[in-house]
Amino acid sequence: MSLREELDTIPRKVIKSIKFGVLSPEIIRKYSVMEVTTSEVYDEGGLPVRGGIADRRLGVAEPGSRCETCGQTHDVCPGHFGHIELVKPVVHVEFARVIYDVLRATCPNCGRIMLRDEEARRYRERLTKLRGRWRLLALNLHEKIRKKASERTTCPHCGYKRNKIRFERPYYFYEETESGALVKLDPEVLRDRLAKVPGEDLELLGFNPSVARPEWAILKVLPVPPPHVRPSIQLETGIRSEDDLTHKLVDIIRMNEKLKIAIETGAPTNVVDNLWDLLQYHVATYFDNELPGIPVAKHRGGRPLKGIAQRLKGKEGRFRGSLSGKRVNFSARTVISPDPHISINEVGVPVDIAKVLTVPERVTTWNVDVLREYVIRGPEAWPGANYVVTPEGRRIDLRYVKDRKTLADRLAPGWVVERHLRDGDIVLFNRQPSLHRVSMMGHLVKVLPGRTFRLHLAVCPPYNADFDGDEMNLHVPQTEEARAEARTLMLVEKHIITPRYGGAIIGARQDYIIGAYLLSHKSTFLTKKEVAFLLGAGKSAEDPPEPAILHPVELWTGKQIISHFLPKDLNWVQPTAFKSRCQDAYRCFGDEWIIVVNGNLVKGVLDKKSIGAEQVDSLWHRVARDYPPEVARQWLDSSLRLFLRFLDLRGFTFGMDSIYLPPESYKELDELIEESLKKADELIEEFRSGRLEAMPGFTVEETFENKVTEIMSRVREDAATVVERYIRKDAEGYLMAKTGARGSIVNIVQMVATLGQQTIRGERIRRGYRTRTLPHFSTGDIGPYAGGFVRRCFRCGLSPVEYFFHAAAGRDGLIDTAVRTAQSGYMQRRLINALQDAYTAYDGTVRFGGETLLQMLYGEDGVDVSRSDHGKIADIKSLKLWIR
Amino acid sequence: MCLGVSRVSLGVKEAVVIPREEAKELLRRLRLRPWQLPWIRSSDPLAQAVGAKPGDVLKIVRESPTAGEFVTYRLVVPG
Repeated sequence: MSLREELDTIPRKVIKSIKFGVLSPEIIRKYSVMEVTTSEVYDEGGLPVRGGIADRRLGVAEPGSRCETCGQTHDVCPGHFGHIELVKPVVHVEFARVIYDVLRATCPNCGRIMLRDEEARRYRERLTKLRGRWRLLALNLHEKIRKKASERTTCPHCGYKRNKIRFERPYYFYEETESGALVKLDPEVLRDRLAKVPGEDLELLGFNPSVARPEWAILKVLPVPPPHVRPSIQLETGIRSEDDLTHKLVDIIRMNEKLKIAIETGAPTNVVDNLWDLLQYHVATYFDNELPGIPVAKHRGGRPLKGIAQRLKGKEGRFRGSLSGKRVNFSARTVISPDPHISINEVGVPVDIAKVLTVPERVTTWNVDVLREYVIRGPEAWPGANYVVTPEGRRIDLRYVKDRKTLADRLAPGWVVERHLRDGDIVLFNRQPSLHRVSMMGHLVKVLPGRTFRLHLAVCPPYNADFDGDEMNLHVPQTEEARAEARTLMLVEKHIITPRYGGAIIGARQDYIIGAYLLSHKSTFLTKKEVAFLLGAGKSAEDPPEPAILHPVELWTGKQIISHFLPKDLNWVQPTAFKSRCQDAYRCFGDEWIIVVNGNLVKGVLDKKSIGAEQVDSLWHRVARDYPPEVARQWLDSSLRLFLRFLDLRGFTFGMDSIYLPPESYKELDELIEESLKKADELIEEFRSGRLEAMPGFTVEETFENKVTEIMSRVREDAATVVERYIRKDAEGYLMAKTGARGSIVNIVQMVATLGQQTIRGERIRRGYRTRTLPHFSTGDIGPYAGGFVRRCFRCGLSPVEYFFHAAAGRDGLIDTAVRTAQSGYMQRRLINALQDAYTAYDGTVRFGGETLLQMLYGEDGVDVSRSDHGKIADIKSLKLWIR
Repeated sequence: MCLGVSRVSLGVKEAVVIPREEAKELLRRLRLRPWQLPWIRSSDPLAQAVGAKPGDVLKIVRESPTAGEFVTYRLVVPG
């Protein structure tokens, strides 16, 4: 940064406060540099007409010309406001409501507030008292005063009997006479009435009359913004295209001229009134073109014009689109795909992206040789460089340097080379919606061939990512401070523990879990070759342990290999998913309990409960909490690679024989379903004969529905126990469900036994025809099959009717998820906006923006949940193991 | 003391108006102006039950799912 630029960053004036008010006509005139008097914009020569909307006195927005007010060019001239003198005043739409409020609370004759002097005095006293300490209550009081004054019909000051005033959106006011006729109040009358209200009465209504008088809400003078606000675009054909605001202003001026001529020539009042109303319409749509009750102003092409309100409002408006959200450099976005070989800390970056994103590196005597190589390699080859910045601050684009060799030779300490992204650089990786802090984490770059970002499967949960076409963003920090912060605070390994409840959000899933289970199984023995292979996968440099079996061949157990990677001082005991009757871990002979003694897995199989993500009191939770993040990460990296490699080695598949059930089990299932059907038939009989009694709070029909649904839904649960009893215990589907790798027993039941009751919105399927769900049933059929009970299973095949019901229930699920995500997303947005100023102060209290107190102690117990064990301050169980 | 609905639905165990001196000490400790405390309307059933007047500071002991029992303070406001 040059000295001049640096000087510009020094604050010369500090804003202490901002006051909002309404511009008075005098201020608008004073602020204006010219009056716009003609609707013509350009003359035949294409030059701006003096006194027109493109007058050079308003400032210049395009290069090449000079502003006639300040004499500066387009990039320095700030623009100057002009004004239009409206022939007749019009209502400012945004203030119509305010005008209505004031009109109702004041006397149209004398302009005083409709309160007795005594009441006014009392309110005034209360207001001065409240304003010092209870600002919010003062606001309420204003509201109360207004209501009170609006109720009175006779003015206590002049005795005038007031008529009722009607307000019709968006800008019409009427007075109701005694006879019930409506008399229109034109803006001139409104202005006269509002101007009569004394300042002290306005204060009672919540106005600050020095900056906002109500009659200023009636526009007699309209400010004209400079062209910087409404720039015209020169199309390639040479035709000028004006901004919507300019068009709207021209409309206003034109209508103003017409109105002026009509009045001067003495046109009949209804003609004048019509033109006046049109002027009102144009001024109103200039401010807001989405007003309810009036037609939208359109372009010749039929496109609605953009009013000032439309520029600011909504997602693409100035606030949400331009101020809160901006676009950034040094970022990339592409599809993501999985890579189980890289570390959870890493992200695979395509070479093409690595050649575009750069890191500025200052030349020192230590890196000058490497940087010279980069400069010589240039922008085309990776790893190269795209720019070189000289000590004088000149940027040299390497694309246009013919002799990069000589440039490289000139490199010396003090120069900066913007080199390509290379392995080990820290970048920020993000997936929308960014709902929590782990939606954006720091990753280390690993440049890879291909066109997608690669990420480790275990980091999918924090981002909520999958690979069905998801895209993610990547940002390259450009300063040393930012890089240091990213490395120490944002790196993935520092976020294994989620701040939500202090548990691990990153952990093993799916293939890793089934791989870990199979490797830790008692029957797993490995030859020397296999052990070498697996330890290699885990990238272990240490010698393998002594083999468990020495003769006739050396064999290692899977547990030995797992133990090889565990921290040497780890002790842990926990039940597995296979735990049945064994209550004491140390007296159980099966693999139902996990016991780790000094880093040796002596007993138990690994499953989701022990190494899965988001598991309470698990082996992995202990490792993640009790060891430094890099140790936990290393363990996860190598163990996950190990589990996957073992799964490759052993093989794992799912076929028809994995869901085989012996014939006798089918007999049992048939009986079970028959029984339920019979029960349902009995219920129908009871219902039809009118013997069924309604449950409290339900009609008889509802009672019947509830009971049938209950009976038929239970079929699946009952079938699950039968299936679990008969299925082979080493069947792949069963193992996956049991270890928690994928699926559940219900899925297996649906494959081998019955799909069970299909539901839409938690009820049996009832829609379709008037008295039945499908024409395949007789009219009035309310039996189980007509209500969406699917008796068959996926393996034996569904009938067309069953297939239909299943599809209907499936679609209902999809719609449900879509609706839920939209609703919860909006709720989250509102919560975040509402609570963004809340923080925990150093004394443990929760305060709101340094202003008010929300809670005497954070969470009422003062526990920082992100540093707790699932919300508890300490985990007693692991403490006990430590003492032992 | 009957705390009525506050006892049942909000788990309020105890509510008392604390003496002015104690309130001042509390505000000094928290470095707060009175209006920065959470408010309770004098028309609130709880405030009515203990006869709190606007300007009083109410000490409220509540059941808490995290801390078991929690002490908080509210400023009584008119209304």
